[in-house]
Amino acid sequence: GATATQKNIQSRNWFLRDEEWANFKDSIITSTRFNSDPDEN
Amino acid sequence: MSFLPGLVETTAVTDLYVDTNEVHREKIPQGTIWKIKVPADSKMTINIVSGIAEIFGTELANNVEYSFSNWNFSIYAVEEVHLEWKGSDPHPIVEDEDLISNRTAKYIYNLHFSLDKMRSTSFEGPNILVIGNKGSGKTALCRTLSSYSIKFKAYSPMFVNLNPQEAVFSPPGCLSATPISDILDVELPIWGQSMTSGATALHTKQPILKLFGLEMIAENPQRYLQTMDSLASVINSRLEKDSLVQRSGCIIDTPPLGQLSDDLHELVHIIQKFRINFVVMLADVDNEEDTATLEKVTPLAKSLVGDFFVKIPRLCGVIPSDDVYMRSLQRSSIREYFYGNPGTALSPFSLSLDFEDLVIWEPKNVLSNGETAVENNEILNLSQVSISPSSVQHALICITHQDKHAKQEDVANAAILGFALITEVNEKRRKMRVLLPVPGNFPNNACILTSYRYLE
Ligand SMILES: Nc1ncnc2c1ncn2[C@@H]1O[C@H](COP(=O)(O)OP(=O)(O)OP(=O)(O)O)[C@@H](O)[C@H]1O
Ligand SMILES: [Mg+2]
Repeated sequence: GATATQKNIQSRNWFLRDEEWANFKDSIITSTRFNSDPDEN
Repeated sequence: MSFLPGLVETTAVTDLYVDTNEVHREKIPQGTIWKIKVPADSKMTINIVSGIAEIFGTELANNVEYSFSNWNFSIYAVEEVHLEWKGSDPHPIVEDEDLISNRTAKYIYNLHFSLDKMRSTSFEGPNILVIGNKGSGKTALCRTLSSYSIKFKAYSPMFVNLNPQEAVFSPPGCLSATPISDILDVELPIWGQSMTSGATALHTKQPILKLFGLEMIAENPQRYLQTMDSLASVINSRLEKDSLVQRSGCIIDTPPLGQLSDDLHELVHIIQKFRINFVVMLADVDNEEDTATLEKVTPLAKSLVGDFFVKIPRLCGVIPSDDVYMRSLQRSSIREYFYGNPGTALSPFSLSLDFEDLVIWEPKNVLSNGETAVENNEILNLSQVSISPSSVQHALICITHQDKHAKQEDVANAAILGFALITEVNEKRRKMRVLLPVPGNFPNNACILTSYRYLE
């Protein structure tokens, strides 16, 4: 049956290589917490 | 009664049902912590009706239902809190001492303000190391300091976990570093979720992991140091490029001091490699184990960081835990890695592999009996695992970023791509079933066996 989390089903990402991680900027990570799209809630 | 099975059954079901849905109310006076134990087989939900409540430094929103399972934690009332809770366990609280005054809150605030001051006066932030005996509150202190660091100002401290038995943003067996750029997930013992394919309710975190693979440091102290070195070097290159994280500094959690060698050379190593300029030890003066350890640690720490070695009492909210609890946390972190959590369900991918498809290495365990004594110059070498039900069934294996045919010395310290779970091994057909977190073929990479098993 449908569950509350169904629309949220996704998969995990692989972890980055050392150099990729060293260059990574956390500011590009997104969350839905501040999303004002009414469809999201 | 036993002749009326129908009736007995109904009563049992009703009991469970009523307990789960009954709303309980609790008032937590200002400055008090409410200790909570939610066993693995039960659930609890908490709704803060009014007041400011924190879980390890992260504030809970009012009128939001938070769910908890398999976790010992506590709620701290910064201001008087009124809450409602429901649960399948009628007594989730720690009996007799569930509501206690938070005597150690002031030490945590003072530490936080010292860190804050160091951040505002130098581009190279504080690198704080938290040490102490088993169960003294090290991880709780690190989590609280991480939360406070981002609460009032836009800092982004690097949380570093050097305790391989503890799972933070990762399955167990790893040492890890994670920049904390947004609030931690109050519902999860592993602090939050690592990156997934889409946006999640809470901002995910991007850790770097290095595999130790064993449980106890004593099983291969050299590999522990080597794993730590490769973590320290990638952290340093991140800090060079990321001035915000550099200024915010590192908050470093450690294994219980009892797990280190007698001469504490691992501690010296950590202080040097991670450029520690602040050491906090959690210890009680009326605790014999603590005073003995303190005597050993003090001269050593003072010689390395001088006045930036401070002792504070063990955190007063700690709940004694045992191996059973530690294992259940490790199990939930593995489950979380593959299946996600109540907030974000993940769909792992199951596939069939031939024995020949996998190359699995294994770190040396110098404590395991039955194995021939390991020569000193071979202790860092990996050995190849011969696949059989007894060697790999239910095992958590680490998939490295190195090619399947890479030399073992390159595999030993390779970056971690991810983890797989071997769910079934069929010796006759020489096939196995493997669970992957990401859909697609099994990567053509070398794997390392961990000491951790997970039975679904
Ligand atoms: N307010 C609190 N402060 C500290 N610990 C708490 C608090 N509330 C609950 N606990 C629980 O007490 C237990 C011990 O704390 P913690 O894990 O921080 O100790 P530790 O020193 O890191 O232990 P270890 O040596 O095993 O790593 C944990 O289960 C933790 O969740
Ligand atoms: Mg700990």
